[in-house]
Amino acid sequence: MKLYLAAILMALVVTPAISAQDVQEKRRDAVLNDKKQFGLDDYWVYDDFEKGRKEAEKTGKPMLVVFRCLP
Amino acid sequence: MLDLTLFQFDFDLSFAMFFMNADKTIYGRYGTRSSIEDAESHMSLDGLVAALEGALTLHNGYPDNQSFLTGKQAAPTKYKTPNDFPSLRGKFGYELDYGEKVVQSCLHCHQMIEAERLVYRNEKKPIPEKLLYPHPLPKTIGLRMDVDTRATVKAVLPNSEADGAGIEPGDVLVALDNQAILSVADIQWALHNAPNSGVISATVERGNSYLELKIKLDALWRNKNDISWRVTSWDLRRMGTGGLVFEPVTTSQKAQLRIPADKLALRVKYVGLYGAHNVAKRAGVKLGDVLVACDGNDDHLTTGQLLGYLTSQHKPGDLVPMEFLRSGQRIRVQIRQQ
Repeated sequence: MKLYLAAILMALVVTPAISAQDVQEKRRDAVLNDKKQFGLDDYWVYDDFEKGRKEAEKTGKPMLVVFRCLP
Repeated sequence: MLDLTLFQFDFDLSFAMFFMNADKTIYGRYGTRSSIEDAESHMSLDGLVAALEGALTLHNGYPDNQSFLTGKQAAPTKYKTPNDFPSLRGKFGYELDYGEKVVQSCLHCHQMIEAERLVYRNEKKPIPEKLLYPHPLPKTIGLRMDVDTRATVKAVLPNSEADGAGIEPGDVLVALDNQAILSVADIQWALHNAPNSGVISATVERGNSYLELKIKLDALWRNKNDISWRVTSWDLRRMGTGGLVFEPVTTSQKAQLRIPADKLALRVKYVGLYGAHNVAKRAGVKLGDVLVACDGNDDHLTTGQLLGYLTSQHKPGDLVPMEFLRSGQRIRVQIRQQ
């Protein structure tokens, strides 16, 4: 379905302050892997609202802006 | 860094969407939560598709439909970014550090609610109701929505505000407070910005007709919005109860304790141990105690209503008398407000 003609993915990653090193590392890896996965995906504009907005302006398409918290 | 002059949503969420025009006009929001354990009961793919279709319809009708979008835009704020809150200033950079310290460079969304409450608390001013009970769920006014649709009413609670307005199951909520409605999150946004008391309009589609209805909001309507699940209630517990976490006492349990059904009874299920969260512990409160009176009042309150009462009616430093039931004995303590 071609509903999201200009789509923006903005990751505002929220993680609780915890001391356990392994949990911190797990979260760090999740964030960095997420950026790697979606940052290379042409379908999404990652963490760059202005870039997505300009694309929407150029194409006349609406934007879908997503904020999410990685577990 | 998040632009708070543009993106305002329920900051206790872990997932939120905006549908927007390139000129930054917001068509709608998507994403709702009402439990720490269950993040998805108010969302569905079918519901999202319906909301997206609604957003496309608004996009195709834009800008002629601007009057239905005005109320959906971000409210004026003196805090343009999270870094502008006094308690957060200088703690985070303006961009995420996508290196080894990426986790530490992340601002917690919920910190923005806490930071805004602290502005009032530190100035010894009451925390506004809107900030205490943010983004009210539809059930706050008696509405249960079908999450697989854009905004179809599934049930109406008898004697609720929605019932009083004449809303019926099966109605499609087209607009609320003159805002086009695409989702439960849109309903929450309209309610979030509704007056503390007054009347808001509702346009519903019923069969082939459109009806203009009026929803009357009485004083304290917001405090029916359950905030106890929210991460941000943790800091309210510090401020008001000195670190206590409560659970409700059922009517049958109340009967066993000889507490009338309409009277206050909240059981302590956690007592804070450290720092500013151990004030109640130091005052003598123990796990399993049942709160039966607060500030001389024994009327029934939910945890959220209790937290709201304490943080809106008392200033830091006030000593609030509380009475607990423990093994049949009444225990009286004073909790210093923070």
